[in-house]
Amino acid sequence: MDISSEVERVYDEYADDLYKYALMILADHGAAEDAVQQVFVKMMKMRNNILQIESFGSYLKMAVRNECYEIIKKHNRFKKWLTKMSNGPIIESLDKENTNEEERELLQRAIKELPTEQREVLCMKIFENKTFSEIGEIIGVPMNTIASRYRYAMDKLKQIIFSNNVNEL
Amino acid sequence: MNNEDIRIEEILRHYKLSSAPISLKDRIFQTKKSQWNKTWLVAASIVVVVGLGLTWRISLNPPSSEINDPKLVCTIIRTGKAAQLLALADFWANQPEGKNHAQQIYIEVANSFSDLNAGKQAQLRLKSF
Repeated sequence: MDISSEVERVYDEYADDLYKYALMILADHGAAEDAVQQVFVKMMKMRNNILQIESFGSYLKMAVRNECYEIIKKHNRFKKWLTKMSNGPIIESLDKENTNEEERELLQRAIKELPTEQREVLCMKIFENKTFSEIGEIIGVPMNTIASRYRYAMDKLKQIIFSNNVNEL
Repeated sequence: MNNEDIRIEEILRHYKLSSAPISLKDRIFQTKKSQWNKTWLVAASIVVVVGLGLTWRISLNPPSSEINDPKLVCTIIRTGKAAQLLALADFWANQPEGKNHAQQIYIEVANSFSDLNAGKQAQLRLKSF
């Protein structure tokens, strides 16, 4: 079997979800691209061992998550993270023709300001429609902790959004 | 969940996370290809450099056929000379009137080249006279 074309097939199937997942954690396009790229490059280096992977979906999600936290760790070490978190929109309106750019901008800023772990939970709950228990299983954290993180995330979002522009939302 | 929470959730649900850029796939699979290309390039460069080095060495500094050690040169010359004299003595020894002449040459070889095989051979021939 040609490993490269197998990895390419896996990429076509999972890359978009993985990229969005990386974006949830990192809130930065460049860093999300790096994380996904690293995971697939490592996968290609595994060669025939990739045939032993039972579920690509959960394996890759975990790999991307680990990669994201590695990137955060590195950036924290060199204190570059805040300056890097600035490029491109991380959320897009579902109704592209009637986008309220100001609203999108405000929500994006609020999401970016959340601590990583809270943003990860919030995005999985809202954008992937996952339950607390499903999120807990994916990231290996008890459901109650997930619920708390979500609670804190919502409180912070409210603070940021309503203190800025409550009437326009 | 209070009304504000529900309102925020509703607003957020009108959005989705941005998709992966199309260029990412090219970047990932191109990286792999270019890594292979790089490996081949490095291997080819090594072969070229080694090849050029060998060519240069052979063309500018051909392996020398001369022997530069004076001691060795001297031994080679002496061995040759002793072998020639021994052969000459053997020739005279087989001639009906040449035995005396052969004996003198054997003595010369045995005295002058006692350290060489020819000198030892000459001594053996003298004993059989």
